[in-house]
Amino acid sequence: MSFRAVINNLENHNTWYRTLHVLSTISEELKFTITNEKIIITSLNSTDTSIYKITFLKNFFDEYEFSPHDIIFGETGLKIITDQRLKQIYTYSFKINGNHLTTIFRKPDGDVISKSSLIINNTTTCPESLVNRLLVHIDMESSIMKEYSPQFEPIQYDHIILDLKYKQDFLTVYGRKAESENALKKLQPKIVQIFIEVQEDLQNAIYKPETETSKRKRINPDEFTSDEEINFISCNQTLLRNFLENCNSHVTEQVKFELTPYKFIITAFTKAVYGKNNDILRNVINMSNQFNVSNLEGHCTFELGDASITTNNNMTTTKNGIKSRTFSLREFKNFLNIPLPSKNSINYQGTVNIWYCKNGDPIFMEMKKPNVVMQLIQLTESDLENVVPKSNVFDKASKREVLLPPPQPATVKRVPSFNDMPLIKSRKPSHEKNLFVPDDEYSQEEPPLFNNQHETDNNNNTVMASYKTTQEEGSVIGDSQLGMNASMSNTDLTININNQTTLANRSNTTIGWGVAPVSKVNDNSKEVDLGMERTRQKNMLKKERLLFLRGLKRQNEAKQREREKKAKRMEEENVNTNDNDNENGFGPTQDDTMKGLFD
Amino acid sequence: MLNIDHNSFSASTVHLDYITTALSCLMPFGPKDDVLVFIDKDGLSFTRQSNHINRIQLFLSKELFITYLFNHDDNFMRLSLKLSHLLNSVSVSSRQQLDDILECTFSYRGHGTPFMLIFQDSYTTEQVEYSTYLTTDADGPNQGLELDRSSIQLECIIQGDVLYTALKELREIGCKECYLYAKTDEYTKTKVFSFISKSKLGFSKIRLPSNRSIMEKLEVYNSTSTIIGFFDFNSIDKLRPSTKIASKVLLRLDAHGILSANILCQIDKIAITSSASTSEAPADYPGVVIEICMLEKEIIDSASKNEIEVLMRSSIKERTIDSYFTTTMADPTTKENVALFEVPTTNRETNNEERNDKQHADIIEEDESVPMFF
Repeated sequence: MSFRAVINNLENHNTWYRTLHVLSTISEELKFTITNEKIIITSLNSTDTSIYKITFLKNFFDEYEFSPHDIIFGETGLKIITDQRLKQIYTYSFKINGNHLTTIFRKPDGDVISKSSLIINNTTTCPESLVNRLLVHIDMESSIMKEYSPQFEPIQYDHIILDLKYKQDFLTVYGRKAESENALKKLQPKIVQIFIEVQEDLQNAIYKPETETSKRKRINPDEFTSDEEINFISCNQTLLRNFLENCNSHVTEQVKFELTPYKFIITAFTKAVYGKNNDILRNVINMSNQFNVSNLEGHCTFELGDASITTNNNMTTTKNGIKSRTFSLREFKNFLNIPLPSKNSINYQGTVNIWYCKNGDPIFMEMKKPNVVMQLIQLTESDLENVVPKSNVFDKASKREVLLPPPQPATVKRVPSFNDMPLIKSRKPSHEKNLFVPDDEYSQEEPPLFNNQHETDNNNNTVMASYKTTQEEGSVIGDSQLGMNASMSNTDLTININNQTTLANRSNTTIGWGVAPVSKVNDNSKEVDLGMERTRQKNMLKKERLLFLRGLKRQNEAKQREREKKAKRMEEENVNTNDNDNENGFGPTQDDTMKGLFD
Repeated sequence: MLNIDHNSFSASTVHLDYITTALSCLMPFGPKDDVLVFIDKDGLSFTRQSNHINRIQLFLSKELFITYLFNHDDNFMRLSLKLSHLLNSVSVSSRQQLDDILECTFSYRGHGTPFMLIFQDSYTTEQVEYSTYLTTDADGPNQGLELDRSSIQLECIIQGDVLYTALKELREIGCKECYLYAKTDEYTKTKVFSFISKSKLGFSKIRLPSNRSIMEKLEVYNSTSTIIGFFDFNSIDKLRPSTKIASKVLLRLDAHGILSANILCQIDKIAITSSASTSEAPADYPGVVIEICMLEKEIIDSASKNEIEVLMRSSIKERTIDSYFTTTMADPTTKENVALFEVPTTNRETNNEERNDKQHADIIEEDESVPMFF
């Protein structure tokens, strides 16, 4: 026999059948890869947006033998791979119709499967009619015996090893923390456990993840670019299952994960479809579950800490701080519906590990059961929901690329899931020092706002909110500067200001404010004080607004007075007034905009 | 009740659900809707056939009826009906309220008169008339489709539910063509009875258990001790509704490629499948008896025969010794096996001699091939 595997256990058989069933829901064609240690089954849907990859370890089967040297027929499926430990591994890959397999292994009515075995006999003794056939023997409890021989096609198959790449990146970005001496004290034990597991997975993998990041030489191992973004959530299956039960999965099509510093929100939704005459063809539907992040087993969130990078790092703005990924619900649902083994079984892990990068990159989920590893890779939607922040983001990113070619330092944070857990400190020391660091991030988000005057106007730590305005000549703000918390470094600022001068003149003003990103905070008490802080922030905002309005009023009055004077002067002296206006930097649009916003 | 006069038939029953279940076994046979009904002193016999390839005969004995009155010069009556009409009215009525007893009367008064069903419960009486007719092929429905009892190659008695499971499995895997494989080995006392399906999945085998409790008898009357029959699955699948209610099935294959299945459906089995009413069957009722005959698709050539042999050998090698080593083989002449299929026939046989018409003789011969008469 070239290959032989036997399942005696009813429960395992059930898992095996359900798995094949789920795999064949997205594609008829299943790709099997057999090695000495495991069987890997993958299926990729026709649009290449979802991949299921399920690994059955040798121990899943009651009997398992694989003798690649005996394979004479169909040897095109044979492949020798050198794994990471430089050991040579024989693999045999073939593709087979998944629907056929599902038919074969389905649960019969009124009868129970007592034993099922899979055999490939491509040896020299094989009768011609059984070459390249997967021989399946099924014994029923009613002592009926069934034998099937579906055909397969040996192929050279290169696995998509995105999972390994993600794990590698995950370790590169977060793993160093675990290696440090105090790791056990600082990190949650669960996170450490996950690091160890991922490390093992990578070492045991038969394929080598060749990632760009691993090749790239780092100047500073603690600094990352936004391209290297990777986030991680470890979540109990039951949470997700509960969500699926509630989400009316036959009407909803997509699912969205949103991770804020405090909440994890899963939303199932369907977009509306309108006909020609704006009549509704399909209604919008949206259902969401949210739970506290402390209910997650653990999570790691990637954030760019350097103030001059503004992508996704600012919790204060409406959408930027929320890590949200949207993908198709169907595959996700099927993935979770592969049945759980009974709770009693040893080594049972009811967690789903989820890794994701940027929007538009695939999201990768992994579930581990005894001797079975189930993986799902799904493409996420690339378009951001909010157009405004998106444009801002690109704006800044392009600037950064022009002006700051070296990789941007980033801060990586691990948010603890339990209050009593020791906290993980921000990796960048400069961010550990004070509570309100994020303020400088967002204050720099709109760099043109500040002039030299702001720099000197420094560090009012009690201020929780600030204005951000963009002006060609920023001397107008006046009293509102009180509210500024500009603790940025001088160098960054000068760069930004230089940058501003190179840009085309814009006459519009942008104003915004926000809340200090609490996730940056390194103290547990911070979470407790959250409510209080918010009220404080509101009060501060009120004050700020009053001040600002007062300032505006004063400015406008002053301007008007000036104009009146000018007009008089013009009348009297017939001098060109335009020059003066430009010098003073008051454009008519500014007034309108600012008033409009606060009225 | 109806007046009993000359040339009339009338029978009433309360076991409508049995009759419904039994009649529905007729459904898969034949593209046409006709069913030929013979009525004589012992009961009603329904016959259908399609394209001279397969034929079913179903016998409802008179014990199923509370009253059974038959009076005719020729000792039998013959008529054709539309099966779907009959089945519809019977099944609709049998689904009626459970707390009331519905009595149904069959009535027919000879050529030219309609076949009547009268449904009576405590409140209503419903009368349905079906026009009757005779079709030309009603003359010799079983021509050529008769088991040559002198050249039987294979004989097998098996539990109905096991056969049903196997047929259902074949259907679910999308079987197109079906081989029947039987092999006995005197030396090792092994018996193999398998269905081999040829479908999109390639060859699949379903091997029925050879334990005595399930397969009472497997006999191959042949020197080679291997029998391979080759059938179109659509034909074989026509057995399925009948085997669903079967308690025992006798399969026989002769040298001319005719497979005959004699199916005995005990009444309790039917009662379970149609759980509607719980009225008890008459104690002396022997059960519905069905006989199905079908032709082999073609006599298979030696190449495909070898292929099947290879296929079977590969699987037999794979198996360890089966449990039937411990069980003794069934004696082919055991009377008890045959007795299971026995149905009271004495009256019928004595009547046979009185029949003159040639057509009648055909029917009698046909009746004789039903297992209850062997």
